[in-house]
Amino acid sequence: MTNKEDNTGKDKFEKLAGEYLTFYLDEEEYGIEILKVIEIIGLQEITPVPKTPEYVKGVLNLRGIIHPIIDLKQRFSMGEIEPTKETCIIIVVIEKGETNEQMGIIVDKVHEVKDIDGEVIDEAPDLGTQFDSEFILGMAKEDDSVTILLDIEKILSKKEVEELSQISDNS
Amino acid sequence: MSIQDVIEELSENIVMVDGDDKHGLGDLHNSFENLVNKLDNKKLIFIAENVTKAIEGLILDEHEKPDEIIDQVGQVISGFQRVLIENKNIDSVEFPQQFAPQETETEEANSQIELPNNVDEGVFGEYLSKQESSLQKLEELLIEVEKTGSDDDWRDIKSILHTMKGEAAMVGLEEIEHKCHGAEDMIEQSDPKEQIDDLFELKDWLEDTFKSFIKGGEDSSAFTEKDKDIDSSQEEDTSSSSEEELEEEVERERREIDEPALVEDFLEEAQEHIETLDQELLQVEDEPTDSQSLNSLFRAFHSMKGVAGFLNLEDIQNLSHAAEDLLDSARKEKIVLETQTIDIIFDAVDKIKELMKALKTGLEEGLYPTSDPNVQSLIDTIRKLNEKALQGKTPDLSDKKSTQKKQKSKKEAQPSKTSSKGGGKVKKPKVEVKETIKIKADKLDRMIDMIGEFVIAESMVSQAEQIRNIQSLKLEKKLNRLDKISRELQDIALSLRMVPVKSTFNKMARLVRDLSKKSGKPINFELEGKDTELDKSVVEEIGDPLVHLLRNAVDHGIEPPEEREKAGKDREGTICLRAYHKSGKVYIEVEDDGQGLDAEAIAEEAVEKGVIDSAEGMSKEEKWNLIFRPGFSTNTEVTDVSGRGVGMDVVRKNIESLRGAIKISSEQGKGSKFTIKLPLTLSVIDGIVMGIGKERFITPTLTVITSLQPRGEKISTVTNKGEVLQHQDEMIPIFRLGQFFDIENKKEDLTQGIITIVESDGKKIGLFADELLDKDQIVIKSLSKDLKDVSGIAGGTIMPDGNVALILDIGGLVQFAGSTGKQKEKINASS
Repeated sequence: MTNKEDNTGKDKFEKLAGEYLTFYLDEEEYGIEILKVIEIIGLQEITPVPKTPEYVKGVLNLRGIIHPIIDLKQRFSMGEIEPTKETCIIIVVIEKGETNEQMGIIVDKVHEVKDIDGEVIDEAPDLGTQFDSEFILGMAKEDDSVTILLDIEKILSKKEVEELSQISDNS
Repeated sequence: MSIQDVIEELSENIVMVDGDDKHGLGDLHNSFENLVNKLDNKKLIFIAENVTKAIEGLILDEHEKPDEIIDQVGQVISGFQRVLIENKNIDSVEFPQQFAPQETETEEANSQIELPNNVDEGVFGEYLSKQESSLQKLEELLIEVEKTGSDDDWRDIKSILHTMKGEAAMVGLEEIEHKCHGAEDMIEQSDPKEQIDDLFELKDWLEDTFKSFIKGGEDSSAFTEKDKDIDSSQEEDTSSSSEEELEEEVERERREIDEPALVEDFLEEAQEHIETLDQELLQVEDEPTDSQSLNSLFRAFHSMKGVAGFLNLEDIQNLSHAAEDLLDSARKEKIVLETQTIDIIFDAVDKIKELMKALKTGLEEGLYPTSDPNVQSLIDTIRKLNEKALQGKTPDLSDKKSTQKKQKSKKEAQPSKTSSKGGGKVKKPKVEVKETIKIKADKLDRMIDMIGEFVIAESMVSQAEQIRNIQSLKLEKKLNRLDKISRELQDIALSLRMVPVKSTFNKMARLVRDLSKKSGKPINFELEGKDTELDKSVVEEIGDPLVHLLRNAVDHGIEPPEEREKAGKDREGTICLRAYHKSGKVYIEVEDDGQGLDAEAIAEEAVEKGVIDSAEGMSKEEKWNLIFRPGFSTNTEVTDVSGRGVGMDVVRKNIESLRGAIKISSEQGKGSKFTIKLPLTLSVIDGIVMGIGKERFITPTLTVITSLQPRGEKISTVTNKGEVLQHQDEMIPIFRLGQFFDIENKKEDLTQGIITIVESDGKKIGLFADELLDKDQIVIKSLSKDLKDVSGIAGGTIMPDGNVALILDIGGLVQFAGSTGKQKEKINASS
């Protein structure tokens, strides 16, 4: 998805232009590419899987397929999601090599589908170790709001998990 | 219809036909085909076949001047009349240039691919097909190693070269063996990086050589030229086929494939036919008069002929046609198939396999493969055999063959029947042909998932409180019916992706048969549990390791007959390949009654080879397992047929990639057994549902010995840490699942909860849970890839309420409980 080498100029953000599903974690607005979204479901009973990282809330059956469910807030070390009426699970598809896998991410609230122009997308600011910019494709500024565009593929990858644990060790 | 009748008919038909009369041409075509089968003179057959092709061309509007062709066909027919009816000398009759062979072939040449040292063609075919993938791998590795120069890659390269060397030796290709050996030494001795170019050159040379084999005609230039750095001297003694010249004329420009989809379908279909053929041939070999098998052989060839004809795949069509005729005679009990004949049919099947492969390659380029020069000779051989057998057995019936030549050597006409027992024979019941429909696998998977969901939804509805409250007998009945249907649906869904190991096993039967013939060791090959089902992909993947294991069993396991006699064993070795389900896994065993593994010799060898430093303190099993180490070989002669080492290394890798395991057990002098344990990727198991806190976990029933609520006095603690249950004079360590999984038990007191004693690898532990909830059939589903390595969890399943429950990995838990005392202590300490 992201082309790390291609950091020069605005070109790389042109590629990111398109429709995004936006949602909230606390007050922050995030976006994921609409094509990666399969569906949005309400919060349901999740079977915990022991011996997994904290942000892995467990697994869920959706039409016969077992989906791992991630608490996105915990994934970003933003604390645990407090279930409300608006809490929901976004089922996304992740390309893993040749096969596609589906997983669910729990978010506080789904907002809207936004058409984001390449011009408004900017690079993620470097915020040091407290902030892992690896998952971030870019930041879209519109009026006074900022939407953080997420690279959903990276959210569950092993490398990221390791890095995350290092970060939490350091802090 | 006698040959004369056919010719009369032809001469009548040809007058009526013109270039646009497709129907008439079709008749003509058929008559000529018929004629081809009845003829026995090579030249005439050749002409008739050319004419057949020309008529085909006419039907397809390929010729510009159809009338000219028809004219010539007319000349051919009158030529035939003169030879066959007026009994003129064949050389005195002139045939149109276009159809006649350039030089008159008088000799009855038998020109199948002449293989080095008379290796069985089946074995050779198998060899060639393996080399292709080896070469690919070699190339990949060479490219890789050029970049990285990593030692691992070099070792892999060596191991491939070694395998190739061994395999080449096995089929007697000394040249290749030498070169690979040379290359192997080269890598070992000097700086390998400098040799990469040479290795690439070697790879190209090998590729050319194999290609020339596959093409059939031996390309001797491939053997003489090129390689200068790697020592080589001998030239392979392989003669080019004498038919080649004749065939060159026939060989046309490669045509484009206009209907790739049809060809693809054909390939798939033909693959199934081939499987049937191999299987039924083995059956017929055992029981040459088995009419059911003969019939299905006939049918398989017949349908292949039909489709191949439709697609203009002449080689396959003609070959199938010849074989079909032979089998037709056999099934009508006109002839009895002798070993020699069956071997020829096997050859034909192999040839068709080869042709299919060429077609497949062709398909990618969009072109038909060039015709194979060796097909014709094989067809001729089959025809001859058919005729000879017909004459030999029932001279009274063969009035129509009065014009045919006399049979040749009696030896050929009546091969001794007893010799047929030499090969690996298979004891198996008869097979029924069942109808099948092809469906794309992903569609099937989706359907299976949806059926699962349907079943859950059904049970959720019928068990909903509101519905229960209705209390209507009528509704109850209807719900019961729905329930029954949904259960049945579920059963069907679960069986959909599972296929019997049969197809792979049958291939193995063929392999052992060929190996047995080649090595001169009579082998009784037994197949058990062919109907054991496992996931389709696993069935396909398991073939490779089995080939290695069976090869080893024949090569190294089974002793030569003389030695066996001395040892007081049956001359005939027995190899058994069996599959069965146990503990939610599939087991596949290869067992032989050969010499067994010599643990000491293996250990010594391993030390010598530097695989291990010392074998001291190793158990027998550990010593046996050394053969799986890379770079190990029990064969003292390094240049001889492939040593055990490299092959077994590959076997283990393959099985591990299927997430399986392999185990050896062996007794010296009595035989050895290799047991492969495989997981079912998709399967139903009986499971016991346990509750711990709010969570549910499933234990596969097959691992469970018993469940009990322990009495206090049966429980003792060891150094205040480990808890042990006394059960039937055994001390069983208790494993608190709640602690391990970090879940709060509802019941801390052991006497309040339930202990389930499970066994894995001969070790028992007692799993402690709050309660037993249910016993049910469950579908194993994999958790997502990211969660597959979670310790103690083997997978998940969807419970009747639609939620997910986790399946325990009993093997992992037992291992954990047994071997990692320290970690266990840690857990206990932390609680």
